[in-house]
Amino acid sequence: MQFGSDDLAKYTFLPQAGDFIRLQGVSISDLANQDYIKVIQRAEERVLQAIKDSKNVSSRIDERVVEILSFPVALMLVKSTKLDHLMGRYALAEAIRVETLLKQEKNPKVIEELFRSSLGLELEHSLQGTLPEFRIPISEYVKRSVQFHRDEWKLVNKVAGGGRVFLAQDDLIRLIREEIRSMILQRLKDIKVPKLPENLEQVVKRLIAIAPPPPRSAYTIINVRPEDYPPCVRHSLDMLEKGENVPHYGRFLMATYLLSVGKTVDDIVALFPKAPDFKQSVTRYQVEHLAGLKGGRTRYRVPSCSTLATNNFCFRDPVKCNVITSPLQYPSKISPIGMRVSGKEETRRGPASTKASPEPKERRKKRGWMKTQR
Amino acid sequence: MDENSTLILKRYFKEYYFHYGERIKAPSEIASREFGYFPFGGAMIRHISFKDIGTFRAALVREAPAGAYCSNSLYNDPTAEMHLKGWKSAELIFDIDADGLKLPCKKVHDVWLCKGGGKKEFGLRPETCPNCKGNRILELTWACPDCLEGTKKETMKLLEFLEFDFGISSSQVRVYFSGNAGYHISVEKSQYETLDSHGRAEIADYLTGRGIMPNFFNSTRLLPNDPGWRGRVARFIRDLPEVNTLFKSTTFEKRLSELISDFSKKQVENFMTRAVSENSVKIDAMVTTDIHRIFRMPETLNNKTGLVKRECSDNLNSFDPTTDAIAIKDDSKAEVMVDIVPKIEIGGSSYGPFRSETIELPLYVGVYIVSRGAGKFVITGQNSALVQKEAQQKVRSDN
Ligand code: SF4
Ligand SMILES: [Zn+2]
Ligand SMILES: [Zn+2]
Repeated sequence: MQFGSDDLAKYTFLPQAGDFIRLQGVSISDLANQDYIKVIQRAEERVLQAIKDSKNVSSRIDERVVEILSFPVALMLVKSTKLDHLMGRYALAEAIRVETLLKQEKNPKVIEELFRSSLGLELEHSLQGTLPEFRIPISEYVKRSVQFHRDEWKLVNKVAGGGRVFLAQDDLIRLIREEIRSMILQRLKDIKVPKLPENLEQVVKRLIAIAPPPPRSAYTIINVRPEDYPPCVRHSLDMLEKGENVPHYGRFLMATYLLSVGKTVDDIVALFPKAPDFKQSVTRYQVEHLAGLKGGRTRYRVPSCSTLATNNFCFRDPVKCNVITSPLQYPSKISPIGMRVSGKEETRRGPASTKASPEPKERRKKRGWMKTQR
Repeated sequence: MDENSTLILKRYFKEYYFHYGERIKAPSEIASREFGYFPFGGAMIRHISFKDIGTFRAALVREAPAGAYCSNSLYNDPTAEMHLKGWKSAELIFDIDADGLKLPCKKVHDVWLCKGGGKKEFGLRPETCPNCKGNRILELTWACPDCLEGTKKETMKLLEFLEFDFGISSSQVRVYFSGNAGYHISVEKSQYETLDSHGRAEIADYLTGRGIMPNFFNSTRLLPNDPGWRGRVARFIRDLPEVNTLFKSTTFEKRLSELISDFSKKQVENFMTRAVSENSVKIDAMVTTDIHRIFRMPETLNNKTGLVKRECSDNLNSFDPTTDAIAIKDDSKAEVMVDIVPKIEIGGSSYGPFRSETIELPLYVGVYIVSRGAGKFVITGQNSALVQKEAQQKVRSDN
């Protein structure tokens, strides 16, 4: 199927929306023209809404052309402010707008086409009795669902059949929220802004004046010097700082590591407001889960260097990482002091485990005579 | 293990690789895989690679290692240190072992040993030794035909999950007897090959039912022909016998409404625990989750038994590990000083139980017992010739 202009007005981030604009033959210099005043107003409004409450860029799908054109204009405006944190915030707000619209989308064909063309994901859709209506490959599902630590996202609590997971529309859309955000952020990073006409320069100046100050640095929040942390943890913190999408393993490492060196759940949650998981409570739940306070009550261990390497998340320092097998052994002034969680203190001293996490309950039994503990 | 026993085992392994090495097939993309082996009495040597299977077979004949392994992962550089290997993908693998089934026959055939006073006895390990009250106790597990049959049933359950839930066709699945007390299953060319260890843990949990929510069926009505766990739980409800400890009513519909409306929270939990334990697959989750593992090579010998890790993808039903996995079945005999061994079945006959006795046995039975760590070879007749030959070779190679 092809998207209509009504679809593109909703999902303005789609590459097909760019084609639409090209067809209209609009160029940057045209934007100085009075004809486009509505587009510019709407673009400014989009950014202002993102600044005011990062949760809401409204949708004006009644004015299709304005809605479609104003998105790339808004991107140019944001990029021209040269404010990194504004880029993160704007990408987030636009992603939430898309999520809201997708959850209300009545036409499953639009959803299928969007998944196929922007994410390379083949969906199936059909109504089968009381089963959820969309189906996606199991591997694609678990690659994404492992970020959500709530039990209802576990594969075992979903309906699986024929290599696919059955998902209701809301769950399906929630699953890709983060990808949409990083797609938009990537667009922002990639665009080269030409010299803007004067009327647009004015808008940029207004936006800079009204933009909130940059948030405190992650290192200030958790009160450490970057050089005290192993390169892999530093890399996650840096990505977080830039509003980038920290891959699943990076987040897992960061949370387990910080917990192990004595940071509290609160410290860690404080790092996240400008990060992918939009709602603080979600982040809190995830961190508490890793700390063993929620869900399965398993306290997760810091992944070993080899696990991180296998998952392409090792950025080893040739000298300091030389002989270690766990990020916790990275030589620094801060040493693992055990784990402090909401006042309760449990210590775990000594070298960290090098086992892959999460650690399944039963250990592998060796054959032959073996020692057992009861 | 004493030196003579090691020499005889090594000789036996060497013979096997010399005569039957051709059976070992090259894994796909052999040059991207990590290999490893460990010599008798030595430590594991990892991070090696082979460009072709011929070189590998030759190495087996030359070294006669106690175990030979190959990664299910593919790497850019399989010989590099772990962090530099460049992981590409890995086949999905599963391990089903009799020990994980905890069958009641364990108390008949398993053996424990008190390190304090040296007391040895059949049965499950006691909390403390009845003799010396010590608690430093070792266990030696054995797998009887019931255990092996149990692991075969689990394997069939797994195959059913793989096909219906995971969409894996039987042509993608390879099934092997592990050479010890269970089965190894590997899945080739599937959508799951690029999953990291957390993704694989989700698959393992799906199979074992770990983390299943007791109320997951509350949202919409279950039907016996639903896919996945919903259908399994529904069929479990439907197929319970008329008289059972869970439901009063007899029809599926009525039982379902009992479950939803009449059961207390506790009763629902009990119900789920039973439904899960009877329908889940008892895999060793660690094996599925770990993607830096090297896995025993098919058609090589298992050092814990001297049996072959043998493929049985096409004949799982009729496959009998106690006869079909014997490495060298000829009429060689060996005298074995047996420590403590339960009744065992191998090669179509049964032997034992034995306690501290010296007996003449078919060589492959002796190899089995000695490999288990439950006896040693006595040098007489047949053995001595073997040992002398081996000892001479050793002297020669030492010089
Ligand atoms: S070697 Fe270990 S500590 Fe160093 S960067 Fe890699 S994963 Fe981190
Ligand atoms: Zn004792
Ligand atoms: Zn048994």
